[in-house]
Amino acid sequence: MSTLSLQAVSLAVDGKRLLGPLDVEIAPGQVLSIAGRSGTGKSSLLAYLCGVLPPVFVASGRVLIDGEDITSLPAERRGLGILFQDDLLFPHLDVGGNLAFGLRRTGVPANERGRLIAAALASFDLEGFGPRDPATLSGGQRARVSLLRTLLSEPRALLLDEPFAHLDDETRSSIRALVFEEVKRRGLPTLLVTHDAEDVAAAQGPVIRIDGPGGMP
Amino acid sequence: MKTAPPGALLLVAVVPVMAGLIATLAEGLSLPAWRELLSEPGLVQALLVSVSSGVVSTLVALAVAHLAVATAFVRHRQATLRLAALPTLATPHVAVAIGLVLLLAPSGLVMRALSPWATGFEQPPDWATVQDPFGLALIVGLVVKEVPFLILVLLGTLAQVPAERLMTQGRVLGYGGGKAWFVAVAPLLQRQARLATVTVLVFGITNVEMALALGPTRPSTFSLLVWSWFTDADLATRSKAYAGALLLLLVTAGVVAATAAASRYLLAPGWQAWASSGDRALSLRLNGRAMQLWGRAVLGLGAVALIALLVRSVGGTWRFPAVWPAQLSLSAWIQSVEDMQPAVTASVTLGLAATVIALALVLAVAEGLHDKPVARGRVAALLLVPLVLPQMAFLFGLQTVLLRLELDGSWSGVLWSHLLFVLPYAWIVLAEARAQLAPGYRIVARTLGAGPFTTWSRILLPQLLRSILVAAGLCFAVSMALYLPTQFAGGGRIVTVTTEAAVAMSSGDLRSAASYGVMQALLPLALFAVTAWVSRSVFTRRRGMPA
Repeated sequence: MSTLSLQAVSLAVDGKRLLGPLDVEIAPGQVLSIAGRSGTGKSSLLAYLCGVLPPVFVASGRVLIDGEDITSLPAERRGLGILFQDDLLFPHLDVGGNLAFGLRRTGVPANERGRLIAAALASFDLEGFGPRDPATLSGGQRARVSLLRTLLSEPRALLLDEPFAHLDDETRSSIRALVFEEVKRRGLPTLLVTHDAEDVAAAQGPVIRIDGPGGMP
Repeated sequence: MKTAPPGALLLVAVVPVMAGLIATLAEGLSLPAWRELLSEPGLVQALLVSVSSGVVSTLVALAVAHLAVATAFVRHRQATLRLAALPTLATPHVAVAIGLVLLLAPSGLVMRALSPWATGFEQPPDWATVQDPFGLALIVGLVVKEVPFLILVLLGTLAQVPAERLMTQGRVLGYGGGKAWFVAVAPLLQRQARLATVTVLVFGITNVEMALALGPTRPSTFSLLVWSWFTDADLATRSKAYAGALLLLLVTAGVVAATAAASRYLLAPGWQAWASSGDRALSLRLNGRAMQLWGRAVLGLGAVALIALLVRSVGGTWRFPAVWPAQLSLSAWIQSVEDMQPAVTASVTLGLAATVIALALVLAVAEGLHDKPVARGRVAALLLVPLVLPQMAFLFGLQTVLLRLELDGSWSGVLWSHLLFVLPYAWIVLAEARAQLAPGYRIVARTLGAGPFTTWSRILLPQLLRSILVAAGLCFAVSMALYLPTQFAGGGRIVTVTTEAAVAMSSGDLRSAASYGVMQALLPLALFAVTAWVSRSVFTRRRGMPA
């Protein structure tokens, strides 16, 4: 169970403030939603938290997990998981290969990975899907594999960049419910950026609205 | 993954071109040299043949390529067309030219097929069916070689254009298939293919390798004239050669500018008027046989030229008007393998080294620019300079630069000169392929615990594999075909299959020329076959892999 804190985080581009300063603390299992139109810096904020912000942006402020300052750590050592609009399953790997890639950080021995992956797939109603080509899966199945891959990497906090936007209505509801259920079950502090009111309502957490460049909480 | 700065690429590929251009300018801007050049007998005629063969061949090649792509599109035969274009595309210019000589010469296959029953000839006629004074054979050769290139460029751009929807919209509005294509789709394709068209035009005006075999001799094309001055044992002609290279640059620039102006101020308004005339009919049935004939004829001629090469290389005594040699034997081949070995080794090692260096350099630079489209465009524009300049305009000067660096006549000097022409193709294929990979893959892999190099090597590189294989085949074929760069940088000391084929052709040894021509065609085709096989064999069960 971790806590994700953002301290005076702000973003600027071309000398103009895009977002912030932002001071928030997200409790274990809590989903903080940042809602706003496109172009208000929501996705750039997540890129900053992950440590992959393009150099065109200037960012300041600190990011902490359980009080540990991760601001200057490389992306692979921050312990964050992220889900995008696109599931971004690696097309050259099968489903099992995608999940195994998520296990690399956890230190699970190679001989135990197969069993762990099979059990994880079964828990998401994807039993026997390990050898499948990601391109042959439905949108809902791909979304579940993508979530599973992130969860298997045992992140300490979760970032969601409009992860339900590309799904049809029915799949969207079920995947959204699954994600928030896992967030609560695992006690993951979660930051959701979205422009969708239904996502915000389903998250059942605090909301920050950003309406334009320089938007303030 | 450490990325390389664009400066590394420009240092290898652009600085030498600029240095070569400056050196040519410095050597060529001499009043006595220009006086001597301008008093050269037949100068105007040589220039006219160069310009006319370049312009006419480009226009014909462009028209045939557009027709071939249009007919393939309406018949859903793009893949077949791409495959049909590949053999001639992969075969170097010199080999295609030798094949066409074997077909079109007075003693060639065409005349043999018609003799004596239709022509009455028992001996080859004394006709100039190749090396004719009007450059017609040269035009045919250029068209045969450039149509496959333009077809592949147009097919590549077709994938970026909503052609199906545009055609449907045109038909719904009552336009015939022909007019719908030429009003709605063809202009979009041509806009994307402008640079390729310019490279074809520049090569048509300034090439030496095809003019050697097919071009007129008295006078020859202007580029051949300049080349002969440069290779003359009398060093006094050297300054005239430099001035000639500058004149070639000026004339080519003038023709490109005039063509662009004509296209903008004459062709475009006429096209616009026709497109908006409301006339919905166009007597072009794109799926009709007459329309398909043009592309098939040109690609077929290229294929027959390659077959002629092969037959001549294994044919023994072959008296006119026999259509087939008296005997076919591999003995000549076996005998010449030993003779060819140094040239084959040099060609293969140069081709592979240039390909590997180009791919590594481009991948490293493209990685750093994958999210910077403006910078990518600038790098592309600079890398393409060697393709839109007459080769002689900077290769003369480049030789001077290599001389100062003591690389003249060395293997590494030739390799460097090959890189100038290989890098643009590697960049065109790979930089865009890298840019098209979703940026999220990198972020997801990093957050899953992979470091920058693991992310690149295990997630990004496999997705680029098919593009890398295409680029490898293309780079090797380009290196294999380079004639002037090898001659200039190698100073005659580095012999490749292409330079040997040209030597054999110039000396009239058709059988030896055919053997070298076959080797020229086989080596790049073999690599294309290997890369195609690897591309199809790996990730066969991964439908989501980028094509």
